[in-house]
Formats: sequence, C-alpha cells, structure tokens
Amino acid sequence: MNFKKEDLKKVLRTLSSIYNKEGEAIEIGEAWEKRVMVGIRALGPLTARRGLTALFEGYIWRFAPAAAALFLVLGAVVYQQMGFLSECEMAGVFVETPIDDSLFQVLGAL
Amino acid sequence: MSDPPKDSEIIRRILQGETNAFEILLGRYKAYALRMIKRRVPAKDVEDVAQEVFIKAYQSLPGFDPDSHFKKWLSTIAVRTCCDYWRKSYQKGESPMSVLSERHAEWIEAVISAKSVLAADKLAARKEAKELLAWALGQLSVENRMVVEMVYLEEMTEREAAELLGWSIANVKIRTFRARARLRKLLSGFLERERKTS
Repeated sequence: MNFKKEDLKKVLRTLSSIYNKEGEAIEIGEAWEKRVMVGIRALGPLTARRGLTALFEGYIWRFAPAAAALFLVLGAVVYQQMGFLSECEMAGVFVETPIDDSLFQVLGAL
Repeated sequence: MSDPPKDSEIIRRILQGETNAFEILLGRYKAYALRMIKRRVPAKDVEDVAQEVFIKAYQSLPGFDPDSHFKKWLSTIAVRTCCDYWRKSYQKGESPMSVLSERHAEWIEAVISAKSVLAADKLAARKEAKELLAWALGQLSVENRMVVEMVYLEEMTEREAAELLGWSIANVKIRTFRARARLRKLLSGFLERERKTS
C-alpha cells in the first residue's frame, strides 16, 4: 500500500482529536498555586531589580542607531588620518610610477 | 460591587513591589496556561512546567508592554517553555519512545480506510492512537514537533504559530513542509516494515 498525502491528512486529523483531549483529566489544586507563590515571593519584589533592567531595555537600545552612526563617522575619520591606501589609490601609484624606470634601476642599466 | 482590577492595573501594582498581586494573575490565567501545557508535555511534568511558566512571566514583567495583552504574552512564554522542556528532554535522551507493533499498523490502515468521521473518532479513542502520536512526535526535532502540534494538531494558522514561537512565517512554512514530509516518510516506512514482517 502506498502512503499518500491524503492518508497522512486522515491520520493527522484523527490524531488531532486525541491530542486535543490530552491531559483533560489533569487537575491542579491549590497546593500548586501556593507552591508557585512561594517561588515568586522567594524572588522578591520586582522594583529593586527593575531599575537596571528597565534602563537596559528601555533606554540603552534606543541609543543603538546613534551609537552605530557615531562609530561609522569615527571610523571614517580614523581611516583618513591613518593614511590607508585603497586599492584604487595603490593602482594610481603604480600608474604614476613608470614600471620600466624602476626595472632599469633594478637591473642597474641607469 | 466594584469591577475586578484590569491586568494592566495588577501589573502596575506588581512592578511597584506588591508581589502578592501576582496571585490574582495566577488565579485568572492558571486554567488557560494549563490547557496549553497539558497537551504539550507528559502528565508527570505538567505541574513543574506550569510553575516555570508563571515564574518566568513574573521575572519578565518589567519588559512587558502594558499596551499588549497579558494572555497572549503568557501563551508565548508557555509555548517557549514547552519548547525548552523538550530540548532538555531530548538532550538527556528522556523523550518517551513507544514501541510500535502490528496493532499500530492495523490502526493506521483502519484510519485510512475509514469512510466516516464517526468511524475515525472511534479509532481516535483507542490506545494505539495515543502511542502512535507519542512515537511520531518523538521522532521529530523539537522545532518540527512544535510546528506539527500547532499547525496540524491544534489547527492554528501559520501566522499564529509564528507569533507564538517568535519565528518568521516563512520559517514556519518551511518547517511545516519538512515536518509533514518527515512524518509521511516515517509512517510509510513503518507500514512497509510491518508488511514485510507479517
């Protein structure tokens, strides 16, 4: 028997009805609720920790675009000041310096 | 009699340090969260996972957007906690692995040839259905498992699944396609083997 797409659909549809009934019998009582609240109280109030977290989540990320732009500008300034030669500039240097001159110099012909 | 406090009001109180106000949210959304968790994790771990969900929710409250719905936000935490549960469980090699037999092959064949929905519903009530479901889900990766549960078993839209999982819709679509192909391969392989042995 070949297992077709439609067959899979039928099987999944049938399995979905059992899946959605899964755990229906499980009941959670007050003891569980109390246990959760004990865990929550053990963590303490949120206000004390909120200061730092809120600062980080609320403000620091807002400055991210400005920080990235500043980084790019500073990078460009440093790049110019350090005198890096781009590939175009390097090619320009080679074009301006005739290669045969230097070759003759190397060979000691001049 | 005064109206019950709104979620946003309770959250404001919690953020002002009134930890006990969380009990109101817990009572209000306990049943809803449990319904989501019960289907996704084995019965023995439901209580622990549900506790983890509410503790995570409490810890994440400072980042909660007061303009959004708490219920939706909580369901995102619940789904992702279940995802983490399976990840840990798979890493430990604890995922429940049922062994399938000829009975399961017969069950699949009966479902395929069932003419009515009623007949299929009767089949769903059988023990084999539960075992086959556990086996099939256990064969999938955690991500594919979540997608199959949401899209095929709970019949959520791809958009809803994407929102809950925090993935893009394209990612959900790709995973849905792959998971379906994997399931088809698994089930046809199983039927093939059973036919050869019988």
